[in-house]
Amino acid sequence: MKKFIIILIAIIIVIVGIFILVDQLQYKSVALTLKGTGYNVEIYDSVSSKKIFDTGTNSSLRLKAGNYYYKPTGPIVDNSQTSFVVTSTDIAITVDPDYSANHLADLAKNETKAINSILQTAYPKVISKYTFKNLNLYKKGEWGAGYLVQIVDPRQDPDIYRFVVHKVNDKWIVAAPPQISISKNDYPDIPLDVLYSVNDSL
Amino acid sequence: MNNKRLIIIGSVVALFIIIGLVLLGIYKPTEKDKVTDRDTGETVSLIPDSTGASSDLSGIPVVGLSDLTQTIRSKSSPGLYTNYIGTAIRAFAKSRLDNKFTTITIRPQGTEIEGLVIKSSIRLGQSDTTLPITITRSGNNKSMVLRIVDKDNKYGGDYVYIAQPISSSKLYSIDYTHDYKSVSDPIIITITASTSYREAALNYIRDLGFSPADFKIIFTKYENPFK
Repeated sequence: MKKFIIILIAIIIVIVGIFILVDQLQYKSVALTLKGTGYNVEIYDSVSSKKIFDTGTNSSLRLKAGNYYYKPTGPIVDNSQTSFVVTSTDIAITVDPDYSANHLADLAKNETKAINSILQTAYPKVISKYTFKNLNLYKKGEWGAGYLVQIVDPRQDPDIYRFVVHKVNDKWIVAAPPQISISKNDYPDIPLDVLYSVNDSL
Repeated sequence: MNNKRLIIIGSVVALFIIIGLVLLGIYKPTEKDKVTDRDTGETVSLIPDSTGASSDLSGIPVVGLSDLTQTIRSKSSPGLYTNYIGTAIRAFAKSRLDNKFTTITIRPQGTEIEGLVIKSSIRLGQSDTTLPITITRSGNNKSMVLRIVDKDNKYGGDYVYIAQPISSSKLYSIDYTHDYKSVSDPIIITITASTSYREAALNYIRDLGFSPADFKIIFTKYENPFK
């Protein structure tokens, strides 16, 4: 009888052990690499929206298979959330957030003069017939886009020209010259969100 | 002897339990000839065109079209476009996904119809991946443009498909060319308009729910002064 009880306990221990093992096998390693500084990354469970992790440095954690999202937080970064799924393998996530809209708007104030100047230099014969409007910066301020509105009789609707500029080696260059609409097929190197934004109505 | 028998029986029982648990832990059903769709609950045959879930054109099963038709009808809107939707989604699966998913589901969950715009999402196979989709019809019911949003650019960026011509007005004319055999080529829109109405023509396209960035737009009888 005593041996029977011992065997029964052993079986229960094995079963519990298997349960723990199967449960642990569902946890996978998630390696977080943070590009840039001055922000934290928060990880949330997509189902419960409960925050489960918060870090300001490169980190590694173990997460059970499921759906999650991360969100950068900080004074100058865009805190849009990005979804990710943990399945049967370890994963690596690189976080490289864009600047927030407010911070980009602040930066744009300082860049308007420089960008206007390169347009004046690039199109000296025609630029006087247009009014420079609404410079927007994107990403980390290295992409810019704006509008040149044709000066016409007030009774007419003007043509609106859209352009995209890119800062390379600390100098602005024209990435897409002024045109009424800018196709993603003609400029595959320009980020899509920049193209969609500049092609909106003024 | 009794103890030995107990040990043997106990070991065998434990072995079966272990095998059972391991199988429960690691076994995942695989898609074979049929699959139960996780959004609609339909049993879908994975043999192309052998299921009511797919339309008359060849390609992988597009699940949820009948649900979508019923939803459109319940909103008193004509359901004429479901075949075009199936064709457009198959074209997307072929050109962007290389047909690696066995089904595409138009998810009934969260489908919204507002005026001429249908907003929903599609699921790739039975995976966790879903993509938003917008289907916009023109007011005269002669045009439909479908857009699958690929925000993270995992499948080549947003996918746009025009099933019928976009209409025109007296102030400008809009035409397009689209080669169904090469759906990855840009859709070319030709606009004929005077100075005052070029932006109006673009606004018309925007009002349909599209971004001009998705098209190659050519203005006739016009020269860009900046080029």
